[in-house]
Amino acid sequence: MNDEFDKKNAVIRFFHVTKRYGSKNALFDITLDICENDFVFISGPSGAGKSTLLKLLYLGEPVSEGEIIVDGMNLKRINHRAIPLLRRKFGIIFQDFKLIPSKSAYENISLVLEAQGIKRSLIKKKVRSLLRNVGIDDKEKCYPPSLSGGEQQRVALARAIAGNPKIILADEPTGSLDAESAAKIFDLLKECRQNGATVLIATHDTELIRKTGGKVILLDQGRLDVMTVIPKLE
Amino acid sequence: MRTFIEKGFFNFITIATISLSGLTVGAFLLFIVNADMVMASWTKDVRIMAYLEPDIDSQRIDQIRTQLQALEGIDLVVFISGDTALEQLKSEMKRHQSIFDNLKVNPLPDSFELHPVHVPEHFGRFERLARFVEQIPEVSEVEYGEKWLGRIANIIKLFKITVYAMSALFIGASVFFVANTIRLVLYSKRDEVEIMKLVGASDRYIKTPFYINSLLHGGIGGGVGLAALYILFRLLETSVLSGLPANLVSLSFLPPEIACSIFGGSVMVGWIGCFLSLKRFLK
Ligand SMILES: Nc1ncnc2c1ncn2[C@@H]1O[C@H](COP(=O)(O)OP(=O)(O)OP(=O)(O)O)[C@@H](O)[C@H]1O
Ligand SMILES: [Mg+2]
Repeated sequence: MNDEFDKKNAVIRFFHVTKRYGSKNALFDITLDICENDFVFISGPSGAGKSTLLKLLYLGEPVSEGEIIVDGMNLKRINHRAIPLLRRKFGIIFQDFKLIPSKSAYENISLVLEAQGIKRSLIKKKVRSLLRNVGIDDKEKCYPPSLSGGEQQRVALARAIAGNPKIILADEPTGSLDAESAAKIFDLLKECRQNGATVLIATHDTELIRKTGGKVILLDQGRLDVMTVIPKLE
Repeated sequence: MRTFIEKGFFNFITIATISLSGLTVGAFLLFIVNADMVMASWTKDVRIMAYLEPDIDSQRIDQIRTQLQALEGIDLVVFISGDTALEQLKSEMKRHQSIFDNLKVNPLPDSFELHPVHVPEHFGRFERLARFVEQIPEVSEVEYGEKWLGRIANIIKLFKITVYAMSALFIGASVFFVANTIRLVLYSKRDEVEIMKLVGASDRYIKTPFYINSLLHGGIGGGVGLAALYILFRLLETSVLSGLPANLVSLSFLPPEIACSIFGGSVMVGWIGCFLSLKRFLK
């Protein structure tokens, strides 16, 4: 195991975590730490359990066995009322985006800020600048069903980073994008990391990992296969 | 506010339900209020007359007077001697003085005129008072009001009980209906609610718009119901009653405190409906 997976400042700790759907193991006996300000790829073939691993973190699914600690909160003992607080630590780009179809791009993003009780005038500024950053400021009033896959993905990214989350979970964040747009999205995610966020990206796009470089957690059929650091391709 | 416009159909249904039950309950109460007022005006001058046996000495009469005055619910006790009664009768029938010319003895007995405290809703009280007075041995006969007044009072009392029961039923039914309508809306928005939860919205943040919506529905429903009731009331007043002499029956609309209660009740119906369905939905 590499030194870079240091146990110091671990913001996420998995301890013998198993997740079962029915009798089928989606994740089996995973123990790992993710440190503050890490930029980590979770990779592996389809069905390896990448999305499941992310879901466990924000309590999208309950753990079957083992324990997960996120930023000092033990997810097993978390109070029902504290779940929203846990989720606000995360900015999540879901694999299926999960945009609300009856709300415009603007409203989908502002929702997160409103839920956190941020002032309306501030929200407006913030959402506008986010839309500009992800390059869809002209689609502000559009509804998700009328946006292309790539555009929806960018709305999802903007929503994920809107609340300045401590941890960003990105599930195939570049799946619907061309190489150029994908690079732009990655620049944004790196910028978030520079601003102090921890970034977890689930992707099976090894090409992209090689191009970007970073820590990689490789899953295979629910088991932790390799944890390594891939240097940036020069 | 978006949700308010979006779900036009559900809004309409909810408001219609609340206003209908407001209208119905209001109409019941309106009837009661007016029935009470009519009864009050009809029973205002009811006197209980206690006719005495002949030849009772004045000492005993004073005793009886004290006894009657001590009765609860009696405002005033007036003694009317047979002579006074005859004088009164004579002055009332000035044109027929000849009738009285042939009278050798005064046929009219002494009597007490009891003025009950005026409590219109309790017509039955007269009966109890009258029966009590009857038990005094020197009292030969008791007369009060007209029997049919008592019967009407009983009918009104029965009607009131029915009305309260039916109002409770209507209110319960509309709460049930509103709760189920909100449940349908929630069901249609379950994906949206799920996403809001995933991005860290608290239950309170999710619930608030539903509460605002329901309180608004309740308020609008109550207002519409009362307005409809008022219009119906005015129509009834002008069309049906205009033919009758003005002083026979005069109707009045719900007093402000009852109208306010109906409005407040409608808002409550919205609130409770929302509370019940959200409780189930967000467990
Ligand atoms: N809700 C569920 N119910 C039952 N089985 C599930 C559920 N979600 C995932 N699984 C199963 O768990 C395993 C891991 O799924 P997961 O979505 O984590 O894979 P993944 O690595 O994200 O794959 P992909 O690259 O295709 O997104 C799969 O075999 C999948 O069929
Ligand atoms: Mg996945």
